[in-house]
Amino acid sequence: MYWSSIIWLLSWPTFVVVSYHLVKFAIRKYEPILEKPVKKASPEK
Amino acid sequence: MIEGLDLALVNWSRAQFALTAMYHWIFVPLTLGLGIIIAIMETLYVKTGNTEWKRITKFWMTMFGINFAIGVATGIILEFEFGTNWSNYSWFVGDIFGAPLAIEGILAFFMESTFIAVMFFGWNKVSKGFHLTSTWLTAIGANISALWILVANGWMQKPVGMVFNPETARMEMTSFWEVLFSPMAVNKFLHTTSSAFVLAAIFVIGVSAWFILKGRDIVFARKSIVVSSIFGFLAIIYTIFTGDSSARDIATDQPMKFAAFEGLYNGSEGAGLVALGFMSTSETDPSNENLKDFAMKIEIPNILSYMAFMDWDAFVPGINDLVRGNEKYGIMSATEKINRGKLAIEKLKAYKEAKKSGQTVQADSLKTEIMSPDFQKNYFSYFGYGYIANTDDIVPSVPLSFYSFHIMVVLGLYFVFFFLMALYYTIKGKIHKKRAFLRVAIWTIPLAYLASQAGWIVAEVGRQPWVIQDLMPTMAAVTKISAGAVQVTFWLFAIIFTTLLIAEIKIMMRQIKIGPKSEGGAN
Repeated sequence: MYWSSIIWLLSWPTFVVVSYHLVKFAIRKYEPILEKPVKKASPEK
Repeated sequence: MIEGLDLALVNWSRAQFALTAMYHWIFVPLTLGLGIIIAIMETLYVKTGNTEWKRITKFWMTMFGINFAIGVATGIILEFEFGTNWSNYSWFVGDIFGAPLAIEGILAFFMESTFIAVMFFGWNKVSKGFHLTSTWLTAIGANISALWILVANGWMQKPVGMVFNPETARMEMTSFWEVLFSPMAVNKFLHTTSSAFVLAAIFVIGVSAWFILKGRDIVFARKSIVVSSIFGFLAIIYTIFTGDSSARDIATDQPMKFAAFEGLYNGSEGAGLVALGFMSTSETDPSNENLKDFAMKIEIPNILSYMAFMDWDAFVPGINDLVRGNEKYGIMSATEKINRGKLAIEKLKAYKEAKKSGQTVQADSLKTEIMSPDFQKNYFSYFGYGYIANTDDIVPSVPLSFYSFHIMVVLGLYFVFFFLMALYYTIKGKIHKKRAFLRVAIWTIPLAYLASQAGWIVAEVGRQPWVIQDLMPTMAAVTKISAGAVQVTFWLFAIIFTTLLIAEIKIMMRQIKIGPKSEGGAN
């Protein structure tokens, strides 16, 4: 009776795990771009 | 139960609860979402050993801490209000409603509160692994806390797993699992927490945008944006899916709420979804179907029928169908429901009187009748209608429900593009050049709060006049105290909460200006 709700509820931890792995993948791939220094433009006050 | 009821008392009690809940919900979604974002960031630090991630984690942890501390204050007041302002409600369903609240307090909140201490003060004192575990347990504990609160709220929207005890005239729980795994509760938890993740992701992107605009801590800001834009994008997609699932629950279990947030007065087959509309201010009248509901609207044909029942041509009942009834589609009129509710109340009164006067045989006979499946299904399930005086009283505020729902949906769609743009500009190394987008990112923070609050208005205003769907109207749930006393505490709370909010914003802004601190340690 509750199986559909339990499975639906399990999508929550799945979502968190998938999010972490996608973030990790993106960070690994784009880390050189993220760490690239930028020429200092005039900052806003 | 509600003889001589003071409407001012009901309205002030509602206003006070709404005020407390809305202020509480300013702090909670950031805690729920930021907790997970911090845990992801710290995991990256532990996995890579890069101390920049520790620096990033610690900065957002400071934001989390400020928000958490102030959120707790409003949450405690909210729970006390069930006893002080809604004692009739607490008495009627306390056996059911109290269980998830107690579990929330004992298990989830204690877990969250214990590990938050390690999370804040355990750096360099416990191992990296233990600290990371504490951070995850704090984040998960906060979300499990939300689960129990939303299970309680889901039960109020669709009461399940209980039986009425005529001896005590109270509701009693028969199945804890039915309450916990009610589809309404599960969908509510998933939709609410995923929307909280969206809000937290927008907060991180907005604050990071400020750093980039100031030309400070660019690497910190870029990394924070990548983490939160991916997390936020997945969260908004998840929010849309769970929202769609919630809408189907509402169409079945709370058809009046569904009709109200779509501004649907007259039901139809193949009903269209109003993508954009302005409700008619002078001509809307639920009792006159010939008058216009909208001054202007753009409608997408058949979508509402599909959204509600997964059938392009299904009949979606409108407000008029639900008030007057619709024989063709087997919808009972509000008048009939009121009569059935009154009969249920009368039977209960007769039972109590028979029992009090020692007429055991009559009392037993009435009890058997009340507890029979036929009476429970056909009469007792409309118990709350017995307190409704006027059929139009079962209609919630349609403009407020309609606009809140549409503001939430439109902003939700905007957030999809917002996260994609934030991610694209950052991974292409262009984010520091997109100054207009960075300013938009800062201004998206209040929009996230607006969408979040609008969602709760849809859920809570849309279900009026019920505090427990079909079983207990809000006016019957209120504590009989003087309206003046509630009015005084309303203004007192308004001042305290506003002061707390101003304090939070000021402390946060101060910490943001200080920025992330450099990390010299090896841990």
